[in-house]
Amino acid sequence: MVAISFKNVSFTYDSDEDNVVLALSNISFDIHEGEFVTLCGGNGSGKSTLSKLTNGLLLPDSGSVEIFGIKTTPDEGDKKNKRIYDIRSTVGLIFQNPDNQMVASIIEDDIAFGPENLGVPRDEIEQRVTWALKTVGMEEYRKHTPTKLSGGQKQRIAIAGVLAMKPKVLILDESTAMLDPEGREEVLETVKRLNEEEGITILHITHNMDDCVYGDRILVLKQGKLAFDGTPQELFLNADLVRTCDLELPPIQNAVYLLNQNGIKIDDYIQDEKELARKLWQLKQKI
Amino acid sequence: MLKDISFGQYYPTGSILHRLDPRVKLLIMLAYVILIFFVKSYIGYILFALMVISTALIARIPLKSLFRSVKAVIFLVLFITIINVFFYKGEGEALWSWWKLAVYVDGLVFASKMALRLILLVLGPALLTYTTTPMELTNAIESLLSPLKLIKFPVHDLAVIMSIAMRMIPTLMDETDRITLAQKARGADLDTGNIFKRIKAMVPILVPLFVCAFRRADELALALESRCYDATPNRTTYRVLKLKGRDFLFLIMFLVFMAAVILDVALPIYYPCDATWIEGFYDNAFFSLFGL
Repeated sequence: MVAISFKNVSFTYDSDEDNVVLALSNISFDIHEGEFVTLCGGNGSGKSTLSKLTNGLLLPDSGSVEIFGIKTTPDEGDKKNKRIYDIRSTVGLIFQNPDNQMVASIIEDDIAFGPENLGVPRDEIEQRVTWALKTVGMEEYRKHTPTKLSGGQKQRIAIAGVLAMKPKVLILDESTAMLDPEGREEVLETVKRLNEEEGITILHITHNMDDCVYGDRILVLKQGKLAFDGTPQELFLNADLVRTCDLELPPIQNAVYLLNQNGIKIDDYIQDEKELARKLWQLKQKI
Repeated sequence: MLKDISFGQYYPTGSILHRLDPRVKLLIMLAYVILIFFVKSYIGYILFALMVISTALIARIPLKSLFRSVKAVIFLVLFITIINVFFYKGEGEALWSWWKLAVYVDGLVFASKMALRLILLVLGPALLTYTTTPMELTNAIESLLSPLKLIKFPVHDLAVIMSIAMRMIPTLMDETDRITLAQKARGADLDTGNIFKRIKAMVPILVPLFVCAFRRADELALALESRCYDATPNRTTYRVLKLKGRDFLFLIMFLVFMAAVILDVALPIYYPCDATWIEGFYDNAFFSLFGL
């Protein structure tokens, strides 16, 4: 089933008529249920705009966004979309700074906030809080305050807070950008597990190409246009494209790219240091 | 620098007082504060002091920590006491006088009572914050104000605002700390000069702090919307407050105390006492009101 569907979506921030900023132009793609998709793009490529379009925080100027077949735009004649909260509880959005997403001083209260808003009965909220904390591996912090936690832990709490609404899609809007490498891995491993075990569709938005290895499909945005849609392997073999999109190749891919530039031809997809070493050894044997 | 100022002064001991329904504690405290303004006799103050001390013992809060809360107002207490001792115009002969200053017996009595009242006024609410987390207090306020929903007063929004404010205090403290250090690293001089200079030196800290706070508010608003804030009027609550046996026990105990205090205030009206030695005890509110 198609989880997120963008059809010819354009969006402009028009603060005034002389100063129209085209954030997204004519974007179309489908993300299917259970996929783990990474969306890359440089600064100002329209990444954040795209994430806000998926749960109706922003509405497209033209085209349509559908979440499991529900349009984010209100029906004709309606001022407000009647099903907007169905969409928001289906699509959980995690932001960059975990500190700016928490509303309560005690972790369990914070996680209960979403289900409370949806009017979930009290007993079920309790179950959901327990389940969400267990899923992100933070059960023992239930009664703690978030201030003493590390960045990675805070971000996992933010994920738990969204999980408690039982979403089918999780969108991470640069959620790893502020974290140290350890915290980043912590969060991405959690998300990967959610994708594999709970079947939650993941859209991970990032400017860090290192994160792409976690997903099985990559979308690249370039100045508001979709520049690439394919697997990480395909993207890394097309290194020139990555460079023109204001993105940086991961160190290994960059090494391969530089080797190619300097006359050492490596056409295969190289995943890590070991593979590169083996490949270079093979090349040397041939000489 | 700012890190050691923790918000609130919750002192967890897990006593029965800590587990009491926060609404009961809040209501008792309100009654306590109102009641203390009617007390005029030493017996009344002794009753109040006994109540505070016994409550602190039940809560297993060391008296030393409790009295630390008085420290914050000690200058106010001293100031008011001294003013009253020297400027109170009593009847009869002055004990001591110089220029416009004079000390009367009445003045001493009045000043001591004023000081007692102020100290007791601080100790009571301190006990409340020692035994109740800010979160519990928020819940209590929300629950106590909930009848106002009938007149469309946004009780829940108010509770969320309070909750977010408390949640953000440590975060903004950290931020202030960071900004201060950053400005110091650029050569800002924050600690020398007179008071006006120092206040002026705060501007480069306050401006970025406000900018950051607004940016946070912006993102928080998006996060709230993403988490379906305001989705349904039939919102449920995770924390449900329920009165238990111990709550009624404490309520009854407080009512007994209240009765004792009211008796102390009201009795002298019906049985005015002539004995002069007892007058000091029974110059209560109503007498002084009518100048008797």
